[in-house]
Amino acid sequence: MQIEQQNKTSLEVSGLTKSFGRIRVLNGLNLGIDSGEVLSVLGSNGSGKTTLINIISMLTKTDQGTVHVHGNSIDKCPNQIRSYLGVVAHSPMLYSGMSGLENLTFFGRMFRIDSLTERISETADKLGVSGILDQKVGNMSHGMQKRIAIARALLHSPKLLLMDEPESGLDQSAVALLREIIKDLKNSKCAVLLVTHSIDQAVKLGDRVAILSKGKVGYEQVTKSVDISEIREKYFKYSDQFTRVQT
Amino acid sequence: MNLIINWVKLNPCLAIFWKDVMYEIRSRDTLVSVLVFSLLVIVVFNFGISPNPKNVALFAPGILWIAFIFGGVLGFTRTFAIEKENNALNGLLLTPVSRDAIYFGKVLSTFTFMLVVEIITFPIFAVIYNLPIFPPEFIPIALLSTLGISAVGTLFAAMAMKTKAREVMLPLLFLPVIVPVLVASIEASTPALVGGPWSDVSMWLPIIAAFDVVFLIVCSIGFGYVIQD
Repeated sequence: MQIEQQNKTSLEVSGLTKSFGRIRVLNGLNLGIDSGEVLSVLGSNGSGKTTLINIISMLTKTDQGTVHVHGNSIDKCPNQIRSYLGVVAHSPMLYSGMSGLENLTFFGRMFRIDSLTERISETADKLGVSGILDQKVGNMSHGMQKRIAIARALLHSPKLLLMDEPESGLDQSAVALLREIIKDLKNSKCAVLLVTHSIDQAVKLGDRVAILSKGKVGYEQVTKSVDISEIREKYFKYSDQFTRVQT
Repeated sequence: MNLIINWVKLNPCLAIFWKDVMYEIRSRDTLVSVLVFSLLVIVVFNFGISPNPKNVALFAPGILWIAFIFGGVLGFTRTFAIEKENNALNGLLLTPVSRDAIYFGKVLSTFTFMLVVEIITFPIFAVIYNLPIFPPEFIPIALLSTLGISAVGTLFAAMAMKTKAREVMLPLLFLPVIVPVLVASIEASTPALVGGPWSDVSMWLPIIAAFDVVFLIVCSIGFGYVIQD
């Protein structure tokens, strides 16, 4: 099955519903991201941000609804879509007994990246981890593990990057680096779904901001046309509501 | 040689196997613990039943396979523990590799680890129970049975990994399913260990092979469902 790479819409999520037991975390959620666009997703704890990322990245099955990446359903050609996805999650998803280089090499091979050595070196330089690549991941600080995890997510030049609170555990210089990386990704037409708790980050980095509430997008706004105080006000308004629905 | 190593590294299934082998060579966690446990089972049974030339043929094959299977249970848990750490398994599941390739890569790893343990354990077992140290008839039994054990063990280790009481769940799920292979292995091992005719050994091999094929097909299909939330 051929993926329509030219498709302007990078991600299209429609009617997404997911329950864990009697708790409905997502309740008919719809959202879309165009190529080269950054969508910042805000929401209180338990509002379904991580579940949304897990469903798009096919780690969790949805109860209802569809997810299309570059026009193709994740149910129909999952492996091709996985090759387009880069994911930065809460946990680094790295082998702690292996060095940073061994981790990147292993995951690079799984993505069948050409000129892997050069690509690893280029990505590690960009993230400032070249000097620690031979260290065991288990011996690295949380921030350094996160940098390696970001390097792993960028290694195969994804078309859609899903980031779940990428700034957590990073120092200020790494956060600044992350901003630069996201800008570069935008320029290379990579779509980014950025889940964050930082309203400042969401507004600075995102082209649009969406706030999840009651398992749906409760509020959505283009960041250019809005003041940060308005987003803050809306965030607290929607976060104050009980965000989960009992089924 | 370099060409073969590169091919091994580029094939997803073999890349997983290679990663597990490298991990094990560095830590030696799985092999050492499984080996010590298997040897302990053999030694404890030796004290328990006091084998003599009259009863050794009756007990020894059973003791040997129980030692391998109990050791295997320990090994399966350990092989998946490295995937659980830091959620590395999710990293693996995010790669564009079929779930079958991940399953077969893990089966290959556990199969290899178990074989290494068997190669080291068997001569010690043979000395303790006064049996031949290298009976060639035992080789096909060991290869086929270990493959079946690894096929089932890998699936149930993945399943148990998702539960809270994984150390308890794995043997509870795994041992009842592996009984047919265990029975056939013990029956085939008896003539192989005491110098019985080859026909008594070979009659069990197709049965074990058939179980292997069924287990590999069913478990590879089941793995895709088990591994996803």
